[in-house]
Amino acid sequence: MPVDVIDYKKTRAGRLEQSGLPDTKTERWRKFDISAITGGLFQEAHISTLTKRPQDYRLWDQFCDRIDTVNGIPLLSEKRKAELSDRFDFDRNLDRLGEAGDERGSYFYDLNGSSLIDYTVLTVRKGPKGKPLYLPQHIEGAENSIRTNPRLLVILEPGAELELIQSFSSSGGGIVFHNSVTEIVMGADSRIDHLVLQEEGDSAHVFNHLYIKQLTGSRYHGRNLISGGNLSRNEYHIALKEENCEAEVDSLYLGKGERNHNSDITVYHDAPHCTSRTESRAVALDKGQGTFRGYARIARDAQKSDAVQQFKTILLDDTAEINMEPQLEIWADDVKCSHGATAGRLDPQQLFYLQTRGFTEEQARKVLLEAFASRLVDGLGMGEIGSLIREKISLLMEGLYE
Amino acid sequence: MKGMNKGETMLEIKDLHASVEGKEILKGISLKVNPGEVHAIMGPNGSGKSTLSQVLAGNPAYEVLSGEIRYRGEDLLEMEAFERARAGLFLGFQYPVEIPGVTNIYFLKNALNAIRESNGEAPLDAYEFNEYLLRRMDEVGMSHELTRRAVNSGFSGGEKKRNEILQLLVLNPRLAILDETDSGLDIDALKTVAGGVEKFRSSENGVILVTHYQRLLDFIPPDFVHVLIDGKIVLSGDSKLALELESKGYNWVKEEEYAG
Repeated sequence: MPVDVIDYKKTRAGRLEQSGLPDTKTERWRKFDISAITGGLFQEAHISTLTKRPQDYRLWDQFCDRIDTVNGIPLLSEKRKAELSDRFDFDRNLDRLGEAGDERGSYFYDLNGSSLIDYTVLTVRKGPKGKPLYLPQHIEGAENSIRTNPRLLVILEPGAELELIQSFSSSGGGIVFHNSVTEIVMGADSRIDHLVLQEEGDSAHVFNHLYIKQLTGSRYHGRNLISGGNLSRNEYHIALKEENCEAEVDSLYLGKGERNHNSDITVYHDAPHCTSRTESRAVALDKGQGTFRGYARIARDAQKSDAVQQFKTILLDDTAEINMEPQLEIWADDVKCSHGATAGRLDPQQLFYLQTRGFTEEQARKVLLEAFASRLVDGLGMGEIGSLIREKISLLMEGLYE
Repeated sequence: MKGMNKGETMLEIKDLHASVEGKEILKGISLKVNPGEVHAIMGPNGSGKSTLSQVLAGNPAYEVLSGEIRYRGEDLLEMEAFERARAGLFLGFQYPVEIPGVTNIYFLKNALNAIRESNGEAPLDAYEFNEYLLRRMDEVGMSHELTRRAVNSGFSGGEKKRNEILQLLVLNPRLAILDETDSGLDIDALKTVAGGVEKFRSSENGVILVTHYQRLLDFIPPDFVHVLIDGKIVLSGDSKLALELESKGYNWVKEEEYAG
């Protein structure tokens, strides 16, 4: 770790004291009570607990380039760096840590920054897109409560393209808290398709903070699949800094049992002629809970902005609860902004129509749920992994009632 | 079901009473359909035509109060909607339902294979099904491009009705109940849709055409015409009855009924 990171950690630690821990009295955390995990905020993982690479998704290895991060430490040898050096640099731009996130910050961002033990700075050069890059974040050997602070900065040089996958997992049986921060800085006309899989167990808390900074003509497409974790939170800050940027975020949350997911997506339209679209979908049953907040802020100079927020929920029983909160803050006068929210049961007319064509009620439900869920992967590339993700969604919908 | 004897009644409805949302709509309907017959059920709006269609197809939103329905020797009211479909009963919807996210080809293939499997036939594989589907699409004049689109999503009124007839030809049932399949169609679409129904028509198959207007019957001449008013069949006859209704209107039947 470069020496100047010590200064960085100090700065964030200073901010941490000022910002204070959010609680349900804070508007944006009103529906998300984290008091269960704030007592002491867990012991930090130590390097000594690191043993071996996790085994999950080994099947994917042939279809992607993979860098594991275990207990906050990227497993990135010089040999591995050399193998990936045709597309990526790992030793440049280290001083740019915080470039997308520092401006916005938050308690958990500063907690991450002040607790850093290691981090990855990945610079993507312009060139053939190559295989998807898979960055699993794993907590290993947790018998007690443990917290890690994985940190990633991706810098796309002008015109660069990347397919990026992140996931969270743990082993060891203790209560774990992933306090992850990902920053993405997008050079002019760069593109990224960014998939986040959150399939943690019932004793895991996953806070995933994403800070995306977009320059001229860049295109960001984020997709989240949340089908695990206990208290989990996705917080996106997408800043459209220059003209003609496009940002899209699709989320799919399968809420049941102990799961309580909090999604908070903010898009800052700071420049004219940019478009943003967020679509948050949830299927919930069996006491599953969730809150989805969308926020678009259109600056005074950001004329011809086009911002759309959609929220769609299917509640499969009376015990589940999903809150949806679209919000707009518009300072420019020539913009197109809209939001919509729908919540309901599966449509009885659609169910009946399918049954008159020979589908059993159970098959009809599955067809409709899969159709609802498949929005997440509309237009997803990622080669063979794209197909595997589609299968995964199909299996998840099949297992929803189990 | 396969062993149904020739000449056996396909559908027999006896004194059927049914309600929706607590309101009695069907007030004693009796009707018999034999294989090979085309029956037209005509009547003004609100007479119970669509309720009859929905009850026959097994819509759980409709409650059967009393009466009996035998279908190919079985008690239809004991069967769930999907079982009726698999036993060869087909409802063409007045308002076909949009299903975003489910492609037409996925929907049709799975529907057909569910029915085939329940009849002990091997499911068609993707290639066989594709060939089979494209031939049926040509028969109803549908663009092949519609196979990749979501079921009825963003289809025009005419496309939706053609899609119902396509499903009729693809699923190849024994009894087709077509609820106002003619409404909202221009004359060319009407001819294509009627052509599809004529292809389906055979000595083994039964058809119930539910319609407000005589127009469709010019293209699909029925064997029997029944007039449904206020939840009852008040008059039955042959195809000449439809013409008489066309010229005299439904009020004529009402007057006859009250006079009689």
